[in-house]
Amino acid sequence: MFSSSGLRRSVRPLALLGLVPVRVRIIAIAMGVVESCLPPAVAFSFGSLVERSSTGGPLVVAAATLVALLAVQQLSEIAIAPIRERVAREIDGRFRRSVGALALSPVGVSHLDDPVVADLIGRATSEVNGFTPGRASAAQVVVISQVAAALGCLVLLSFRAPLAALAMLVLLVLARVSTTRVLVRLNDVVVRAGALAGRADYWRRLATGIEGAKEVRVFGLAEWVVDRWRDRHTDRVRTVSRARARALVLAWLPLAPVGAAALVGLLAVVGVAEPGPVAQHVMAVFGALGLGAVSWDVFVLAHGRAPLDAYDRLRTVLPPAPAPEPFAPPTGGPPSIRFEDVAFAYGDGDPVLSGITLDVAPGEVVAVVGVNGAGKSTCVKLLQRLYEPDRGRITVDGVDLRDLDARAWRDRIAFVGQDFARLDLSLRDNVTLGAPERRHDDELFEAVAAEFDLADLVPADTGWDTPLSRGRTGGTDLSGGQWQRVALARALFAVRAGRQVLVLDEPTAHLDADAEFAVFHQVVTAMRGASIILVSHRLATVRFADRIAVFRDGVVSELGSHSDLIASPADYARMFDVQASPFAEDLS
Amino acid sequence: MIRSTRRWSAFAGTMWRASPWRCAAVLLTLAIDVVGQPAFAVLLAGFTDAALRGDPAGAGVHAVLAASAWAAVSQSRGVRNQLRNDVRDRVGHLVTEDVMRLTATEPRVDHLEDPRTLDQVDRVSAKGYTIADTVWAALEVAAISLTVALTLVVMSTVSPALLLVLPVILITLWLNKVGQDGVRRAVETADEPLRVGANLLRLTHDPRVAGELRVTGAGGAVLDEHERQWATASRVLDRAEARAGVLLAAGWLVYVLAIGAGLVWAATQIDSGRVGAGDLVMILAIARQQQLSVQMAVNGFSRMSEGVVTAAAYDEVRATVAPTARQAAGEHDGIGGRLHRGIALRDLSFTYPGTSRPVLANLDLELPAGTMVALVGAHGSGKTSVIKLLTGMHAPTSGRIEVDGRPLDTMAPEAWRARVAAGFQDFVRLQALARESVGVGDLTAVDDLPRVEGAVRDAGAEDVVAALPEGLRTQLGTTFGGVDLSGGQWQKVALARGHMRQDPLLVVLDEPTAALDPLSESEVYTRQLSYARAMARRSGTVTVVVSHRFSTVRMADLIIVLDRGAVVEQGDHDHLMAAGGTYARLYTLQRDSYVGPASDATGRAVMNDEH
Repeated sequence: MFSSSGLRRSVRPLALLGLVPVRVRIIAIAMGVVESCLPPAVAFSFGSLVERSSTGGPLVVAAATLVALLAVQQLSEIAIAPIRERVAREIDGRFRRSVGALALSPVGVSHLDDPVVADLIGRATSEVNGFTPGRASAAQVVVISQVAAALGCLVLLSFRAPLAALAMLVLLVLARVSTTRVLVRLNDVVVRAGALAGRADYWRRLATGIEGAKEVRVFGLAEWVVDRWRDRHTDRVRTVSRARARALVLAWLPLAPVGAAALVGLLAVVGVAEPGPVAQHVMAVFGALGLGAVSWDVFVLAHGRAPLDAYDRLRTVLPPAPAPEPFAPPTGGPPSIRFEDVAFAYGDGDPVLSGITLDVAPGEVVAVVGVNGAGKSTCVKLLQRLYEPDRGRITVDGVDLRDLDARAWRDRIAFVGQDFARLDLSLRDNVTLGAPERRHDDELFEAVAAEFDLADLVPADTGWDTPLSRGRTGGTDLSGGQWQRVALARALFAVRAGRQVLVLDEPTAHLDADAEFAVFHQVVTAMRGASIILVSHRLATVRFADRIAVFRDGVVSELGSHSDLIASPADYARMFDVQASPFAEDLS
Repeated sequence: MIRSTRRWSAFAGTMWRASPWRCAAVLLTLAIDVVGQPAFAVLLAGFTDAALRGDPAGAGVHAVLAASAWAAVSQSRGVRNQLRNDVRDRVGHLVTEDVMRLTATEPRVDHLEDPRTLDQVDRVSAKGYTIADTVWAALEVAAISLTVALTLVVMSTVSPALLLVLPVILITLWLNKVGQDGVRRAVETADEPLRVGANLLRLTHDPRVAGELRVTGAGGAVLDEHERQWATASRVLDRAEARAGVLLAAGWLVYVLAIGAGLVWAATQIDSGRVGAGDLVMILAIARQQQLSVQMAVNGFSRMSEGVVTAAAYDEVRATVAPTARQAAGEHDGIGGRLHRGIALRDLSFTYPGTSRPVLANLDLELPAGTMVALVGAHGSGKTSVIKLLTGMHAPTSGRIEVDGRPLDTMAPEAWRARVAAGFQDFVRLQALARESVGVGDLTAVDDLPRVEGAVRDAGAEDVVAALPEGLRTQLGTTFGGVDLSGGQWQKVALARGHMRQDPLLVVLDEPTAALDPLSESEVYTRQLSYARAMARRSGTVTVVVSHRFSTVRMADLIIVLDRGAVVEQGDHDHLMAAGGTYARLYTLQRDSYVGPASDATGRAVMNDEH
């Protein structure tokens, strides 16, 4: 009936139980077994109680058994609620981690530009109405035990009325299969519409968040934004609603086989005169009908599968990452880095770099400047192996970057970018995660924190462990400029921890030109010894670099020290002049 | 209590209006549940007795009816789930729309700068549907109570003594409430770690930080922290749910013993003929139903709690956001075509809500009509706050702003803003068609292509549009699968948006070139300057620029130097240079960074000035 992969897919949620601790798993499975056995057992024991009472036999044992069974049934039904939630959480915690780990696993970041991947990640982490893989897994245990319980009742019936039991089985399976199919088809619609709604969420956040709030108000965009949201969201509600209406109509059809099964089952006992067997039979019919009824759990199961399916597809889409080599502290001084005729384009787009040749000597400070879109950041990303060059190569001490273990190479880089990470963690974590290999080196951390005067960012009583997030108890909110200092301290920490190549890619967008100048000055002074590559479009900042590379149309159009470049009538001199000439007037 | 009753009946009304026939159908399915369950038990008993009597016809009729009752009850539950979800989607839609509108049409931004309100707005707008869940759950609980009552009546026909299970059921429900209260508290406590964990998890696939996490190698640590937060939340929830389970189990154990006793007693009566096997079947069937019913009620209660929290947040949002919005609505007329005297700040003080330190103190400023004004000062000196007050994002704590002598707060905010054009440093990257992203600068002209093209030209953003695959019809941003722009390109789009306004009396430019390269920056300022001059001639427009670029600042007619919320100097460039104060010092520092000698001392000096 099932192919083996089909079977594997259908019990995929159940297999997630493998993720939970053994103790919890055993409890969950035991609960399922108890749930499956009880209905037939209750029916049987009820029959014998009635039998005894009508024949005048001793009641005590039969009554005690029945009451005990009822008690167990009741207790297990109560216990199953917290247990299934617990199981669901255990699974979901690990599942989420797996999704995160999967998203992080590719060496580069090009997968995140792929809308298919973005969509799959979105689906894997979404929990539409609380339907998660963990809940699906727990629901599958429940569904299986419900089916098993009903089958057990049918087995009980088959002793007296085998043909009726068989007929019931056929009818009930028919009802179940058709109902499930209707629900699953509905689920598909809901999932697809959910993706639509996820996008509508952009407009919701624009209307209700602080980002963009000023422009929404100055330009009077409130109604316009609400309209965008409504258009998209109404679509979603309508689509799902239509699918539900269809499902509702179809869902009435299985009612006939369920009713027929009940009838067949009950009529099979007509003519039996002993009360005991009759009572048992009636109870068993009652229990067997559960096979045809599709409980809410089936729905949880169907919906909770969606993130799981997305995850499984994601695994096939993303390239498998090689296992990183264990961390080894870099030996020797900063490396010599060389870009040899490096060309690159994002996807099928126009080339961003069309032949960059540039070298960075150990310990040198090289600044990269150029107009917006000249490929400065792209160049930095290639150096970090976030993308691979389409042509040419980047070498480190003469070795092609592609032949180096990505982790080992990155363990030599300290980096601050334009959009640095603002972790909802403590100030300490935010700094030390610049070099996780030295994360617990408090002495190093405190030295760096002192050097960047970080103490005034956090209240004295909670100190370095103050979470940098207003959403956290005792947390504190930093301004853009304050975050900047944290990010730079993170890079300094990494350099002090032994990373030898410092890459700064316009990390000071939140600062004004003067502050940027000062910060770079401080950073460069503090981190002398490391090779420094700094990207900026502010020329005062880069003036004191050992060499300045000007990017234009995907190549290095000028290269040299500030005084070299200023002497030749090209881009650099022109750009510098634009900013400096108003001042020069004063001096003349 | 009365308030909350009124509130919930209002929600119920909203649901009804959202879809009357679906609500009616849900009520119908509830009615089927209420009647069907006791009927099923009675019919089952009738069947058993008829079968034992050897009455095939009677048994047959009872069997058909019992089967129908069963089918109707189980079917009605499935139908109810679907309808319920449908209504919940619709109500969620209405609530979200309401909160979005409420939040976005509030002219000020105070509510968005208050973390608590922001959280509540987010909760309600994202989870508005949970309110419908609560109403459904309440209805279901009511229906279940009726069912239980009916089944009790039916049981009492066997023996009134069986009514003794009623107090047991009530105690069980009470124990359940105690447990669920604990769970609700736990849900609130777990909210923070869950949120933090979700934020951390999001970082793992956020393209903006993907590079950094790979380079630093912090990805693993982020995942660990996520897991720790998740575990913290789980522990809290596990414990509360387990406790609730134990409380409930205690109640049900008593119930089972009571029913068990009832069954045994009834069994002993079979001989006497007062009780038949059918009655036993009925009692057992009812016991089963009551357990399931109360279990459903319990689930209903737990589904209620989230909606209760959401509804309370909804109330609070309505109470905190709405009033200022409606109060501030002033007159629409009376803003003339031209600015004659200018804009004045009179004894203006401002403290951000929820903080104690004033950011502006007793500011008196004249921004004469037809001038370009530059605001200068370190971070935290109050420049941005002045911009926010001028554009009406906040109301002054004391003092006032006057436009040609008329207090700003007597004007309708939207009427004033229709005469304000703005370019911000933290501009919005509007994920829409390029045409719209620019055009929304004047919504009345969003479809006026020549106007949009004109604005693009005025802002010097032609190169951005020219690079787009479908020109102005290109979808911008990755959210809807469009073209992503660089920071500088986005900034030009944002500036073009500002140029859509045709007849502004006030133009504010809050560091509008932070993301631009030097050539574009200089070009933008040149354009803005000539735009400002043209506007000044035409409408007496005041242009206020916040910039750190002194080459731009020096060209302003009036330079205002702010320090810790107070004006320390004002005048034009020559005047201020001659005065040799703060302005002269800052100007010289920047000049030296370009044309002076390099020294560490320069850097330090600027640093200290900044922080």
